[in-house]
Amino acid sequence: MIEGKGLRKVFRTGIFGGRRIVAVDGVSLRIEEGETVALVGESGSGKSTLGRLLLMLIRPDEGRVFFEGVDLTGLRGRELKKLRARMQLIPQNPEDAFDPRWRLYDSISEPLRIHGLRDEERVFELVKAVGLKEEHLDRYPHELSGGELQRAAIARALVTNPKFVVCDEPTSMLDLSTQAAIVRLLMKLKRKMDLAMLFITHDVELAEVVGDRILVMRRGRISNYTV
Amino acid sequence: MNRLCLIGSTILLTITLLGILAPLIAGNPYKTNMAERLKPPNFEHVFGTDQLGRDVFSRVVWGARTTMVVAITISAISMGLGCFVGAVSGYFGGLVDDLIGRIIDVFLAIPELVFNIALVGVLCFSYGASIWNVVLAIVVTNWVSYARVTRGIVLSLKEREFVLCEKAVGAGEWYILLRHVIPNAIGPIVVLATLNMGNVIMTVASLGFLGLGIQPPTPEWGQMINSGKDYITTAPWLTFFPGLFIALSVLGFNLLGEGLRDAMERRSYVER
Amino acid sequence: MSKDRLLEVEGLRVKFRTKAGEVKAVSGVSFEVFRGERFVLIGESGSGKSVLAQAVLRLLPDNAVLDGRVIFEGKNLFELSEEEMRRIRGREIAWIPQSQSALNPVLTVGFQCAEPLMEHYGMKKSSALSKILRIFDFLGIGGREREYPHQFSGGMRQRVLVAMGISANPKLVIADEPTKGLDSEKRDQIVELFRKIDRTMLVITHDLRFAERFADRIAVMYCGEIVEVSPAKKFFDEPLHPYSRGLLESLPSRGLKPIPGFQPSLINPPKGCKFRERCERSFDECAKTPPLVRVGDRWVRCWLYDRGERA
Repeated sequence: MIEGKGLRKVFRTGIFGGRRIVAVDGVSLRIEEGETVALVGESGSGKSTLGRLLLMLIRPDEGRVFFEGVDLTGLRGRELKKLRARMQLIPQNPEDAFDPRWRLYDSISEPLRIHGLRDEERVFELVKAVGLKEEHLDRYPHELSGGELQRAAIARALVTNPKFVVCDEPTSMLDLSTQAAIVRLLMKLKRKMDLAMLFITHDVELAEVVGDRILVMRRGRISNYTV
Repeated sequence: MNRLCLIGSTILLTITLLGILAPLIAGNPYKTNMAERLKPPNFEHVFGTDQLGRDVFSRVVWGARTTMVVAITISAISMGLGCFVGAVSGYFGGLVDDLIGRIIDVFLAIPELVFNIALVGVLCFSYGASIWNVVLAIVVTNWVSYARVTRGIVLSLKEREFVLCEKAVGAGEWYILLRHVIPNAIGPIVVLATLNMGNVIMTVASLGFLGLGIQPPTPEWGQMINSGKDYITTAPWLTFFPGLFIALSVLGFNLLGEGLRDAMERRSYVER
Repeated sequence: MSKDRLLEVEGLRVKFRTKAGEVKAVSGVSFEVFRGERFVLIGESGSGKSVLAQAVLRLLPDNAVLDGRVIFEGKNLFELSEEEMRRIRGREIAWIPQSQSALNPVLTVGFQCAEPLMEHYGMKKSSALSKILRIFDFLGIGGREREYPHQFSGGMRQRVLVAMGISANPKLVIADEPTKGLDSEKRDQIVELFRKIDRTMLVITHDLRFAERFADRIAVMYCGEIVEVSPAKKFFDEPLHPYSRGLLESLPSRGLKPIPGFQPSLINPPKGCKFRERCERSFDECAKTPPLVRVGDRWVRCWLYDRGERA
């Protein structure tokens, strides 16, 4: 369902862009409908970059990304925007995931407005499904804890009924006792909505529990997981 | 509201109020009366009279109006222009940013006051004296600091995770810039604008003092100091009161700006 | 059992006066750290663990109200003047902060690490630097003393912070969340790194797996109180306090079982046992605050272990 072929992304840093960092080096992978692929790697391995490439949040220097058969690499503007409703991101740092000046209700319902979907009920449905209360919707990001914000981020990601979600280290910034709850929530919602998921983490044990399949990323290259 | 804010706003409010109520309380700043010339402050003329017998208090208060209106106009135009250019430059980057960045660098290298003087001179020469010369001349150098600050803020905001999330959700670039990035940049810009006002007032007054700004008989503080300087030993109130008001306005804006900056820093500290 | 107590904390209480109310960050904490041991204090955010560490070093802001005693080598640190305290910081008790802002970006790392030596022992720059060179070699960053912090990767910067901490030969090293945001491989490197430090260590963290590999003894903090103190192996084999058990069970390798409920606020902490609302095994007695009781060589704050016997 999601397929990346020969993806390559190079970043230039340093003064005058002298230093080149190959974040993703010729990676190909497939994620089938409803499948959870866990992507394990240390920080700097390029796993976050790969996740963003698959969502076309950054353009690959080489390679292609296919979503339900459509070549995303060729798309621009409006066509890409339409497809965005079907693939979403759950970010690593929940405390920075929302516009600090917007109330949560506005942030969570924003994707609906952007895509012209009129479905207020969905916001309330999801808020309940992620374990938040309606009163949380009236608050601002700085008034909520990390765990609550991550639940809100999940609600926002699922509000347009996507088919594919990239979870970029969704629990690494959270407290221990919250991590288990959030992971279980993701698993539950994924089953309920039959989502394809790329679960990015640096925690091998977590990957073993979460993933149907595990891929390991090291210095931009990907390989299958061997115990 | 912290103390700085309070003192600053009180000063400014008083001056602004005086300016607004000028028609009611300040009489006629143009009425000359040679019999009453150069009289020290007394019951009838609280700030004394000038060399043409005009009431100094009246002229100072009407001058407040002039100065404030001009300063605000200049700031508004500079801010609008500067922030927009800075935001676009910072957000979209690339060639546009490089180009605008270089332009900003050029403008920063120019000594502001000298350039203002030169520009006002040229404009007066070509188009005759006018308040708009002053406004234009100052805007030309003033917009740059807004552009630079805005660009910096936008550059750092661009990297924030919520901007990435907005993109992921399907928002377009201009939408993100206008509805998410710029609103979050407003805070520091307001602080800059407030502090900048002090500068602008000083520049307007300086131009007035050099005889290049707003021309008499329209009352303007800098220009009043200029005409009063010949009488500084015999009638010091001619220079004292306009000077005092310039100082107070600048002080007011500076205190308010500092107070706002403190308040904003404290807010982001508490939030953590 | 006459082990040398390097640090004793007795009845430590820390309150902050804020606009939102009085924050009771630490409520009556007592524990001891023996010379030479590796003591790990486990707690999540909001447990008060960082405040506790800062209190020991007297690095808390002005609006903090302190109570209790902190005894280091027989001296009560709270009774010392600021001048005397400054001599202790860095020289007797070192602080390894969480990575980022502790390093000055415009000074070379060699100089920054040598500063404590020059400051506390009045050493000349050259002799201080040569000592630092040896420490750098020891920690695996040999030869890089002339580089600047930004030239180091996160993990390497951690080693610089360690070097800075141990340079003045302190007796006690306090490390604050050394593995925050680091992945499993780097975490193991930190364990290795810390093992090399031959000093008494007090590490504050919420990283259970780090604690499992590094600690001699473990203390668990919840909502400003210590709820369990135990030798490491016994703790991980069988935690006593229900909260400890909850923490371990929330690990993916142990079932990923979440602890229900939310952490209570430190502004209006609940009366009685603070973990009561989230505890599966709570009963009536829990409405009263349980004391810290001894169970063999362990301590627990839970009515289930009333008077040293299992309930």
